[in-house]
Amino acid sequence: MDNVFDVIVLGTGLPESIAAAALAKAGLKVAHVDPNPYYGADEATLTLDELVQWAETHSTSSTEEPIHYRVDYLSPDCPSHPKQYSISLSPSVIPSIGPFISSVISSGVARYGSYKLLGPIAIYRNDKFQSVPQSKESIFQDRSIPLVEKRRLMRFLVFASGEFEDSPELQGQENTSFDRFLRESFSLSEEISQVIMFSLASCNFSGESTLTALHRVRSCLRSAGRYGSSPFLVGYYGGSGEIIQGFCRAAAVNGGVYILGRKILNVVVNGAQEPERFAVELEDVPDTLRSSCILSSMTCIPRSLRSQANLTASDSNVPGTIRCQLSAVARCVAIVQGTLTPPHLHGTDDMPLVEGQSDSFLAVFPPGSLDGGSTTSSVTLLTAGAGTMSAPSGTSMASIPQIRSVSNRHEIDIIYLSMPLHERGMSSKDLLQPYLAGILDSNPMCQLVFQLFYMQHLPVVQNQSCGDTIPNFFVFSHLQPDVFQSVDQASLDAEKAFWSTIQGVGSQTNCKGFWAEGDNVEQDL
Amino acid sequence: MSKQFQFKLVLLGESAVGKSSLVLRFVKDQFDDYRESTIGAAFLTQTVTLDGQTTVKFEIWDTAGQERYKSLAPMYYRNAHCAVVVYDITQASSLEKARNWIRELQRQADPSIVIALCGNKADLAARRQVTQEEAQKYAEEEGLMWSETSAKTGEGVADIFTAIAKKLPLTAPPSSRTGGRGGPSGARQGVDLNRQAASQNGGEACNC
Repeated sequence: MDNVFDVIVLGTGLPESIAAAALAKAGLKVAHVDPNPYYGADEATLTLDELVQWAETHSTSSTEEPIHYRVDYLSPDCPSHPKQYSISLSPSVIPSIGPFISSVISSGVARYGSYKLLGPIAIYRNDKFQSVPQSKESIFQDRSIPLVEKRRLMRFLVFASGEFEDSPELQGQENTSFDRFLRESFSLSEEISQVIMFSLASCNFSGESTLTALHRVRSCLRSAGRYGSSPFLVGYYGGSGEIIQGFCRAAAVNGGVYILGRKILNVVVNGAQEPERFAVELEDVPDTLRSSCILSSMTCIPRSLRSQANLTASDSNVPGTIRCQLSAVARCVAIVQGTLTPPHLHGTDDMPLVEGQSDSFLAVFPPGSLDGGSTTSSVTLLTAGAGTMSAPSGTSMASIPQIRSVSNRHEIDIIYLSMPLHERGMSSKDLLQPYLAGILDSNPMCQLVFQLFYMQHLPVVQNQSCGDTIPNFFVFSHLQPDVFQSVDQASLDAEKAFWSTIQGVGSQTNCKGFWAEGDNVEQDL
Repeated sequence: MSKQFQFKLVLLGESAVGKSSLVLRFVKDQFDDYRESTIGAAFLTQTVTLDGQTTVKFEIWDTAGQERYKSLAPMYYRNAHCAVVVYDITQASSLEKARNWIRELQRQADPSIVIALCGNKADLAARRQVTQEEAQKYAEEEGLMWSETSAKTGEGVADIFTAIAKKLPLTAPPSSRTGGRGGPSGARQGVDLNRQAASQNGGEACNC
């Protein structure tokens, strides 16, 4: 039967797509459905015209959905060549070592995309950007750090990159605030502590606990050097949205059936004795899809069934991934004509250029660092341009002469800003406008040509409902948006869901997916 | 001096018009009457020698069935230098679908893409529903290459790929939208993910 599957996967977000690729690879018959006409759901990459369309449909917030958006401001005009932009709804960098990059490589999806090292990472302090050393090597070369401080910092980094779990320094300090730990146990200055907290440890707020922050520092330090000096990679064409398409193609190549842009009309749960427990009805698809298992994003299943789903999330005690639950993320996408100056040119410390000069750089505004900005949340800035095929190259644009004369790279930059929040109700424009203004003030040659401010609301914590869940009905907990960690989190969640599904289907196939050992190279015919 | 070019070629067309069979004939010189939908290959490669000096290597992407519900990803068209849009000469409706795919290509793909329209199943001419004149006229209007093939007998298959190869190096400039892999103009600088980690377990990122 053409419409009977082992598993129906609903939603093409990052965790769903990784899981679909693994399940198809393991030999299961997979149908993968998304009501949107594009791949990627909340992690999608859109062209600029698609983004404008997306923003117009989200100008009123639908509180029905577990993850929902509210657009607070959209530029009335759209720059030319809108199809040459690849804009991510969930901009992120990829740690060079971690579960996500492993999945990309072992699934063979690496061949579908292109990647670059992230450029400089900077922190905003005392009204300017300062480069953050990304490896021990670069700390040695950094002349802005006093020698005594440098020695203390090195001592900390040696500690943090080693097996610190049983070390005397950590005993009894696991839940101390990381800031206090750095200052008291390693005598680091407030300035250096901030740099470590908000860049290497990618804290969102002050006061995060020491143990989890240390895990993130360690994975950051270990990632540096795998592909180059930066611990992070950026993907071409908007990053994770493009990689999602690679995972979906990998699933299709292994027999997965793809249905996009069809509304999910109904999800029916049959009696336990039925061989196909689940039925999914789609608009404009005559045959009802049937399966013995469903794996879905929370957004794609009817409200009435949500409380009966088995939440599938990777163990929350995977080190380094524990985060305080967010309520919302304020986001901004801005496009400038002209090239943003990478932060290493701003400060007094002239850091050596990162190899393979990237047009993507990342900067963190710690809480309270910017006048008029937030005193409680950090804000992350990520840029992308023609160098990662995210924006049209300057040569194809009618550009402003004086800009051309100062720029030898490209002439369009995309600016992403994100601010994690514990509370709702504020306007993303009010929250992020001061940051955008600050960035543009220090880059007077850049002309703002497009801006979008929106709020991404996240569902309140769902506790696993005790009692009546439906077997083989798996739903992903929502992915915590995070520039540094969400791709790794997605991969861990996908792996967990993969094993749950394999177990649920009771598959007789040789179930390897691409996490277990075995040959992971897709054979050519 | 010998020259080698490498191009990405994408296949398009309605389900069951013989896209995969056409490639299987071209790449392996095989045919299977009961082939199921495409399974198992990310892409196939085949090299065409033009004049002893010039070779063209095609990296051929099949739809992997994602065309069935119009669910092909933008990534599929990305950096494609050429496309073979296939219809079935015994199904008039398949030429209609081919026209839609060509419109889609003109919308999504690089403007310099070389498009060949290909009427497959020429061995079933007795059941023909699409005349050569009709298809050829449409191809001329749209500036497409056109020919008929039979993946079953092999007729015309090599010819259409050779014709594309001849047209390509001249019409496809080093594309500004070429990504990190597979372009004729050489790879754009980027990171090779498969490079082995130098320090996977040591945690020592520097040797100072």
